[in-house]
Amino acid sequence: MQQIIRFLVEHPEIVEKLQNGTVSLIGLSELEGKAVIKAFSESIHPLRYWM
Amino acid sequence: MSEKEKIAKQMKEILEQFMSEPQLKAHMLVAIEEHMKESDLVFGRLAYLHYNMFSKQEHPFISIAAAVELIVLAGDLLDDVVDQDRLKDDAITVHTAIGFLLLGQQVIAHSHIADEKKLKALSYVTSCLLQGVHGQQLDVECDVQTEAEYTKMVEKKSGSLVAMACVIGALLAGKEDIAAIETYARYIGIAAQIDNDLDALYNWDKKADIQAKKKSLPILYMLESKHDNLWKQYFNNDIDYERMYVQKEKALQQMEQEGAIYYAKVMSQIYKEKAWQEIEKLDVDDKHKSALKTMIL
Repeated sequence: MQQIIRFLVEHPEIVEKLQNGTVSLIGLSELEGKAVIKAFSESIHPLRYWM
Repeated sequence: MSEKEKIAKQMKEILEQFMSEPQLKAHMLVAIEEHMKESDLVFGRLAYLHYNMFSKQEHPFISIAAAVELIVLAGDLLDDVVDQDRLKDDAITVHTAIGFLLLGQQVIAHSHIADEKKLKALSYVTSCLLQGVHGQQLDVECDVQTEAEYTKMVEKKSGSLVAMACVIGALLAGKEDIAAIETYARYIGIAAQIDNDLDALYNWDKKADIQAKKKSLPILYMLESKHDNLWKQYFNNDIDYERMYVQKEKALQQMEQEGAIYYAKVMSQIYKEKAWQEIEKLDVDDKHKSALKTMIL
């Protein structure tokens, strides 16, 4: 996962295509791919179980 | 009155009922009030929700939710002592924590639920607390080197507490097969801890994680980087905490630029989604699933 994130940070144009659904990431499950898109879309709410 | 307020009220009533030493009682009351301000009492609410999910009868269960929250509060206080997050009298804090720990278990033992169910629940509490202690010790040793080691440590430290909250509710309601609940609860615990670690990165003055050199996921990511960065210098002892602290903005900027924050967010989201996949398989009313969803996604 670390390598994929480093790649995406260096290639923001791929992030955009991922979000548009025009490319997909090889080696990631559907669930992992969904998590990557959500994280880069800044649509994640942190859990506040501990303060 | 909200669920949170009901649980907090019950926590105070339990204190009144079982604690007789006035000074300790006063400290415990202050601790509950502070906890109320800082927390949404998620653990108590999870226990409450799981009891309602699996119970076939209406039962005044708020006392068990309060018991779970008291046990978790005990853990928070002990964690603060270990991390030295609070500059207060450690002896009082330790006694307060032990008081909460025992009080929580006392409430479960005294509840009007069948002995067989209570025994299972109490045994499960002990087992989770032991795992939590193991996890805490691994955390304090700061010997985590890889993502797998971090996940193992966090599953024990945090996953066990969330599992405790969810499973106690289910066990007291008479649910026998707890495997699926345990699985998703541990995933939730891991996700919540990753989020908590991220929060610590932006709160150096409130939390001692950086000073204690705890290796959370974003830090492990930075240590694996091919570029030189402040995190490598700090963790290799090339610079001390004071020099790191004055450059904290730059250190965080480096993390953001390299993708370390995204990495942690992705990992957290993966565990949340995994938890949700397990929850969706449960044979329970959709309203309970929806309630659980709001607590994780």
